[in-house]
Amino acid sequence: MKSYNDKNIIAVKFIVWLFILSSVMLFAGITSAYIVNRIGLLNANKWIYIQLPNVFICSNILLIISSITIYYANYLFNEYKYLYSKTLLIITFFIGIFFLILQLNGLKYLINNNIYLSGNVAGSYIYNIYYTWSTCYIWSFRYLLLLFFYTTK
Amino acid sequence: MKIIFACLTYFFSNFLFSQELGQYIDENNQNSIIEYIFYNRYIILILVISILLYRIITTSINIFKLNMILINQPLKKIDWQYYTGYFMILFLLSGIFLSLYQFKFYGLDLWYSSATLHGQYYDFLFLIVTLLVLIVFFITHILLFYFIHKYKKNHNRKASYITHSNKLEIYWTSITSLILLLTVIYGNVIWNKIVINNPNKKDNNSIIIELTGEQFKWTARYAGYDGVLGNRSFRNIHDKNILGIDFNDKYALDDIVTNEIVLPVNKSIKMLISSKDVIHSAYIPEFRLQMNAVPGMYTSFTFTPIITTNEMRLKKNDENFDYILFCNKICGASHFNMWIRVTVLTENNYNNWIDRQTTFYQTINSI
Amino acid sequence: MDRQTDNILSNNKFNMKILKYIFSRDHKIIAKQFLITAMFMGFIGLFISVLFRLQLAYPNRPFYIFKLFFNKFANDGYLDPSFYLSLVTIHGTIMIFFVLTGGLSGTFSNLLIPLQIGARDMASPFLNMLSYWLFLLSSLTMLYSFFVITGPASAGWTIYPPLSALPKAINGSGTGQTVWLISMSIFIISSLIGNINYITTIMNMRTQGLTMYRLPIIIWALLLTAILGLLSFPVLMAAVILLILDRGFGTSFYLSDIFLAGEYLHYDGGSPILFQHLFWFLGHPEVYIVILPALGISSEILSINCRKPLFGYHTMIYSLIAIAGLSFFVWAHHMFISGINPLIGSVFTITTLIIAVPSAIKVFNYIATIWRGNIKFTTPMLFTIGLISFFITGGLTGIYLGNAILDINLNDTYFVVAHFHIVMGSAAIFGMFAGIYHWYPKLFQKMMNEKLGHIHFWITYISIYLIFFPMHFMGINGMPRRYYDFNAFGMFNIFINMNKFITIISIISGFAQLIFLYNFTYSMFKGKDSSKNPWKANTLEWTTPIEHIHGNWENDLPVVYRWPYEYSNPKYQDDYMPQNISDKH
Repeated sequence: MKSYNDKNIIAVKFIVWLFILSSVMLFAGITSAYIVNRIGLLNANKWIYIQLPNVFICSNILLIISSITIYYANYLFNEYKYLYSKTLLIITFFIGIFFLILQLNGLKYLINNNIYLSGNVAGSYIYNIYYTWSTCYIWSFRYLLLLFFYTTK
Repeated sequence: MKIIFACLTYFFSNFLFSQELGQYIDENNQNSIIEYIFYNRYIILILVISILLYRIITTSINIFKLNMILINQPLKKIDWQYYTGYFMILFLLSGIFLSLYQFKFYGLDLWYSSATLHGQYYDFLFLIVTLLVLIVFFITHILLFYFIHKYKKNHNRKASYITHSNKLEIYWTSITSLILLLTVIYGNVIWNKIVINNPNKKDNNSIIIELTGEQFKWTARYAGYDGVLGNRSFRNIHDKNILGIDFNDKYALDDIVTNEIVLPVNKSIKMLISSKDVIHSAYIPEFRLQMNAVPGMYTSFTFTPIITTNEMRLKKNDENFDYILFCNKICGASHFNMWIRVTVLTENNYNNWIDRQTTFYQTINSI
Repeated sequence: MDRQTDNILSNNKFNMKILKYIFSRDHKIIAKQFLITAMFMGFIGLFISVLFRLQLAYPNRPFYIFKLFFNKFANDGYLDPSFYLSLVTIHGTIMIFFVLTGGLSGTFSNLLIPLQIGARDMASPFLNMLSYWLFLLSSLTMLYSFFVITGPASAGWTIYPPLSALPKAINGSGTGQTVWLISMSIFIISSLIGNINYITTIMNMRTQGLTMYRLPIIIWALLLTAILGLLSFPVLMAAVILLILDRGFGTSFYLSDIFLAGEYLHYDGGSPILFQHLFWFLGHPEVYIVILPALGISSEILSINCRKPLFGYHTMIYSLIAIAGLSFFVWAHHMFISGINPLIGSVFTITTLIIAVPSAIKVFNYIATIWRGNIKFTTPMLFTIGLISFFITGGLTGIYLGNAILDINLNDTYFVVAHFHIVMGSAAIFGMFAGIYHWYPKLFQKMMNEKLGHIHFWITYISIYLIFFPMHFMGINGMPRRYYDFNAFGMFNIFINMNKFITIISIISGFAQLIFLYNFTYSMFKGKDSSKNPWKANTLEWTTPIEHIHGNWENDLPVVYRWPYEYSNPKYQDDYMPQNISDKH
């Protein structure tokens, strides 16, 4: 049975990559719909250029920072420095919460400027992509928490 | 036995599925078990008969077997393997016969009645592809069933150990690709001619007709004397202005809106097709014309009819024949009843017909 | 039936024995569960098709059976036209997604992949079990859509908007369509989880000595099916999400300029053609997902029953890869006359041509396998012969439809119906039957009755040709599909008798499937006991003990020494040499 478990870990990593691949295809579908729709409507002069608020750039940077911290946490875990690793995980978690707050700010800004889900197609795409993405995001929170609890064990 | 069963099924299915024509189930009617049995008498009859038949057949087979054992004659075991090989050949021969028979019986009635200029190219390509496909169909099936029959199980013979042959693979790949390439290249050439580089489009004498589909009818609009269709917008649709024509546009004042399509023969016609609600599709089989009607955009198809309705009636020996434009995309409950008649007249008759029409503007404002 | 080992189930919360059995994570039980669910859905789909064929054959006649089943939708025994369209829709959806995708790739992937690559179980047994229960949930949801007030989804299995997005356009586009979309979302998730599991297992858990070029073709086929599913189902998810937003949240992804039921709707800026592109991006790989396992099964059964190695093993693998890869570039051949730019039409004609070549190569390789073999006419072999015959016919009629110009007159007519029923509804189903008959000893430790199998084959094979071959002629003569009846037009009167004939044959063929059902259930209990390797095959699944064990092999995993098609090699005494027996013994 031991060999089964070892093989299992390699397999589980592979599984995670495949989940990522299928999410990529999901967003590829939505993105291609966005591109096609935008080109068609530009020709008919019905497209609105929406300037995304700067908040979203800040939150993107935060996203990159949190990836770095999680990668570093993994590295430290392999080096057996458990305490540092746990601290980094907590930091990542808080970065994530901060990210969420910034995102909500950005959404509030969009709504104040009358860009809703229904109405113009351009607006709909923003919300659509955001909604799909946020589902992935909330799930990643769950895994972060799980990771944390496993490391404490 | 199977034939009898098939006949029984056919015979009884008619009755089973329509117990009493016109008399429908009303649960209150079945007050007693006797009425229930009477009402469902045919179903019960079929069940009883099939059970009886089954018992009769199996019992008689058992009797036959027991009899053979009694008189000490060993039963010859039927070698189904051997017979299956022969069934395969029988199937092959009957298959070839039936498929060719269907060609003759159902004719390819539509083939001989293509009524547009591009339809002739279409028919030619169809004929070539059909010949190629039939040749491949018969050759592969004959090979398949013949090999199956010839190499059936034989205890004395061992199968040959042949794993691959690169030469053979290259041969049949290249032949297949060549044949397919020829059909596709010719198809693309015609496709370009009809849909992309239609020579008729270049000359501005195409008569423009706009066809609008909605649930569940088609409406045609002609450009009138000025030759240009007026503007329209969906937001203008109300009351009698079913197409939403904008009468502020001067080109719209002489547009003619009809419930049937009339076309002059030997003139190129460009049809602009659109829809008011869901996706429909304009399909005239004899014209080799089909184009989806999509709400929110115009699709177009340019063609030239070459046979008038009267000439076609003579050709088909059918006084009541008419070209019909069907809706060919699922569009709702009455999808099967959404059609418009297409009449092709000689040029003089067409001009007379146009002269007799009242413009849409007049029709709306008259009542 | 299963001997449960303790360490597998030590973390199972439920201590009741029956629950251990139902929520089992053993891949063989999950394969059985997939099979039973798919057969159940298949019979429902078959029954629906017989019912609406009745309507087509006898259009002006009331039928008691309609009133019996569809009380509200069939007043006085006449089927409602919009309910007829619902029946057509649900028949298509059930047959394509639940029976052919879930049933074919679900059953055979779960059964064969761990056994044939020498693994103890799938990479993640928990995900495997989840994939099955989500599949069951989505099947039940789809069936539930029949009990909705306005009726099930009725916009065709392709659910093009605006018809499927506007409840006022047709009855079934209200709640029924929503239930359909929910059911399909769950099905997509189930299918994705399953596919991920299959790919991982094949890539990571092969036993020692089993290189990729020693895998049986069925495993290659299932691998490619899983990859196709992984890459294309999310795009359907995207299309479904956009459709759900359009239906319920007022967005305009697919809708624009619509005037329906006397009022002008607010949608602006969308395009229905966008849905068609997204849908057929899944739709075309989907049909390859349906046919690839069937082709793989037929390769196995052919070489086992002809006692001859599969001709051109490497070529078969490459053509499978070519079909799978190219299938992503041909989707718009379903959309030639839908208003797309004609230049795109010519591009897709060429790519469709290219994808026809590997399929032809596979057929020629099958015929070459049969040549000079020593054929045993077992029931799986008969079904495989039927599959090859159907694949040839269906593939050849595909040449007409793949050509943009010939498609003008044939699109959405009965020609298309005949084409896809022969190539998908017959070749793939025959693959499923062949697989069930062949691996029944593995699943249930008994053999199925050969005589009943032969009768089932002949009746089904002949009746499918009798049903679908005449439809080609109906299509060439211009008969449109999804029509409730053809009485309005004189030009289809010559086909009235043909319609009746087709319906009668379909009823007979429907009863023949009952023979199969009887054979299946009877043999489970009273069939002849099977030996360890009843078909004298080479692959690894026949080296496991007859009674199921968790972990498949008792002691060590087998080691593989050669490719799986070593039949009738003059070097060896027997006419087969299993993969796990080394040369020097």
